[in-house]
Amino acid sequence: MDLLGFLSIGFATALSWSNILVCFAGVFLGTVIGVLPGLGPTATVSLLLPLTFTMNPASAVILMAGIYYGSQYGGSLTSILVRIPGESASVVTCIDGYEMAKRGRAGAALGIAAFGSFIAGIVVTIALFFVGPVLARFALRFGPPEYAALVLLGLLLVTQVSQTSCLNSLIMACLGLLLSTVGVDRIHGDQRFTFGLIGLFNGFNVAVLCMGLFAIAELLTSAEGRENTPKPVAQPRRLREMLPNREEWRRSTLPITRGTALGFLLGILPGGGATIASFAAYVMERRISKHPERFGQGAIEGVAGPESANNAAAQASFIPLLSLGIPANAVLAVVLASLLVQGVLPGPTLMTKSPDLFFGVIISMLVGNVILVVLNVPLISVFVLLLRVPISILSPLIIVFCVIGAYSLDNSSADVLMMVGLGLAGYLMRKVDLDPAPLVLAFVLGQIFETALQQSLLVGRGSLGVFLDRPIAAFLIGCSVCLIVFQAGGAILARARAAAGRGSRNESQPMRRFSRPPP
Amino acid sequence: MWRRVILSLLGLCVLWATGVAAQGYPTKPIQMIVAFPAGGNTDLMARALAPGLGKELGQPIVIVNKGGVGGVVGSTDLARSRPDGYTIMLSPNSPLTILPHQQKLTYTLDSFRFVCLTYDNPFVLAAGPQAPFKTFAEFVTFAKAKPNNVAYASGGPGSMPHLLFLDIFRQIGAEGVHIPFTGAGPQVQAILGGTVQVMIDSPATVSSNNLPLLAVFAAKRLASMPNVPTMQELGLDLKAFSAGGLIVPAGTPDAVVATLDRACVKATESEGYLGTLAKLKAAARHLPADRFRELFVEDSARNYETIRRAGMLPKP
Repeated sequence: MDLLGFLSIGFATALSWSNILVCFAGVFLGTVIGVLPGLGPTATVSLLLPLTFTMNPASAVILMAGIYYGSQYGGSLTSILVRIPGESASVVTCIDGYEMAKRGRAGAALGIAAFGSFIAGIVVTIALFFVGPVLARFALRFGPPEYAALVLLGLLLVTQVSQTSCLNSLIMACLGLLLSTVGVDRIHGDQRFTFGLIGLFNGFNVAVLCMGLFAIAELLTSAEGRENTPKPVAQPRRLREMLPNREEWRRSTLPITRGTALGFLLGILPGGGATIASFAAYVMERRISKHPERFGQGAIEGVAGPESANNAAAQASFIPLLSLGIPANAVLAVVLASLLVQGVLPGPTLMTKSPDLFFGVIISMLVGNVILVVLNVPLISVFVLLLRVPISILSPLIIVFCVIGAYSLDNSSADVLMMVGLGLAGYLMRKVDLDPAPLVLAFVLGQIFETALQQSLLVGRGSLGVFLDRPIAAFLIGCSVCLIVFQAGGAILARARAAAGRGSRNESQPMRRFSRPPP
Repeated sequence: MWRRVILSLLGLCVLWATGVAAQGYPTKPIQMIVAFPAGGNTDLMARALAPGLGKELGQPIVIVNKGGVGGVVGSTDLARSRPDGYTIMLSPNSPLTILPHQQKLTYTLDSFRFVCLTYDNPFVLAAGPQAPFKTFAEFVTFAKAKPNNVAYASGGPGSMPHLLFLDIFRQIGAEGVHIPFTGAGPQVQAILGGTVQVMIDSPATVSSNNLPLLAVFAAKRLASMPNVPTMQELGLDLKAFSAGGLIVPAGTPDAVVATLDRACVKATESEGYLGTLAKLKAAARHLPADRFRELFVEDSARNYETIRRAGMLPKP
């Protein structure tokens, strides 16, 4: 069968009334759970798993896919409005999205997040249709050494996700790395920093970390009721004025394009995912921006890039799932399970054996994205009203959802306690001007890095040469080395210039900050 | 005011006491712990069983996933639960028959009462698409060609597949490199990408991607893959056991266990259950409490031997 045939089967499946309805239910539910902090797609799809036993497999995947990428849409909402990430993939959106809201551009931030996600969703769907399965095969070349090298590169950029000084970011990143070692070691099975407490065996959950360090800490800070309390800025009242204006669109075009490409590539790597994609997009935008100083001060690029990237990655991750049977995360593991229960075996033959499923799911993403935009954009004016809800009413509600959310992750009350503890820690961090964003990124990367490094060394029978033998890994290691050389070189150059009495340039800013004596 | 509070508390106590003493178990929804994440093999077995079991008992079964550390977290939780039949667990053998030999845990086999075995989900040995062998005999030749010639995947140190590999390598007189992964997904990725050459997992997991299947760990060949020989046929003495069933905390009353088992017999014979398991290439199988316990005790002794031989006993 040719592509045109597949296309018509895809459309026929996705555009049947029942599947449109299922898709609508999925994305609507996804948006709602994305908005509620803590209640994530994992808990939702596991609750729905028994329901899918009796559904048509294509409809089941369309429903679960809708929930997953719908939650990426919804996650940005609370990040932007109240600085509380609804999902770990929306942590970076807090940085500039919230600043925009403080400056009266909440609607624009929400708008660009929705449109960025929409554009990313449509482009990725089309790309998946044509090159997805081929790329997924290629992505298999990513073994443990390649992951370790990729994540190493990411770790070098970790200081870029914070507004505080470079030293502060490094402190937080180190703390994040340390926290990522808590729990039972994945390779050797030893207990580390568990103190024999069963609640710590699993280590920290990234969602618990985010809820504690961002949501609970934010609420504690606002409970002080002093100058820190966000003053609701007058937001424009008409929807048209709320939406991104021409200037904002102009600045967002390239970030959306780049975010889409990055999210697509990271999403198609088995094991990649929306969280890393969103961080990577933010760092990239900041690195290549001509005005990096605007980041953290409400730069729309810092919302457009990551929000496009996380949606692109969420959709792209269905390709390794369907064409190879490799789930990228816990949500997709449940989707895989629902397929297995139906007797559908994902793999290279799925495309020809059940084209209605494979292409129906891809085409349904077009439908889902259209529904999401139609659903979300007119509601922006309603969402913005949330800013006017008094914090005394909003806070208890958010806390309730966080507690439910933390418990629902693993049905463990230890997670709830950890969230509260991390919330107190996050509050203290705020008091001393430490930003938790680098901590979260280092935590996510640290877990992947350690496991991948140990696996690489096992693959290489103990030799580090394994990183140089494999071309992709060697290339990535080379990038890291270049980055260090350029950073250090830039800093030395800047110092020499400063000594010569001339001003230094923006590129060397992080290192210059690093060398600044503490106040 | 205080009087009212105390009175209402007392009232609650009375209500609660009558609830406990109430005859006619079950009178409220039952929590079924699954010590693995949603979507895993055990989770699917539990979700296949729960509707039928709930129907027989006349109360809904609520599945609670408490994943972590190969099932330790959920099993510890069950051992600590009130033995009233409202907290039950569907568990495979590994958290009960392997982990207590390797780690210092707060539970042993005796912390539980066995209700009924509900499924048999034998392991299959699969090779990667690029591996230079397609049969078990070729695998043995390749593995013996030089030490550490084969890299094998497992779901973690001390997992059932890891122990099985240790046993295979001991019996064929070779050595391999163990590369642990977290969960089945990363293992499939590693075997497709060529990072490892062999893996052991459930039939449903290894059936995708047309992986060459070398052997099954079962007494006789599986109906779903009649061309794959058993380990016994290949001349290895491997009695791998991978099955699971319902367990409850020790101290659960006989009457409750009997009620649960009656429901269990009916549920394991129901059409929905049989259909779902067939699609997962697992076998529905019912065994009463004593036979179920016997199998787990045997398996525990066998695993202890493998773990001792591999030097993986916990340091005193």
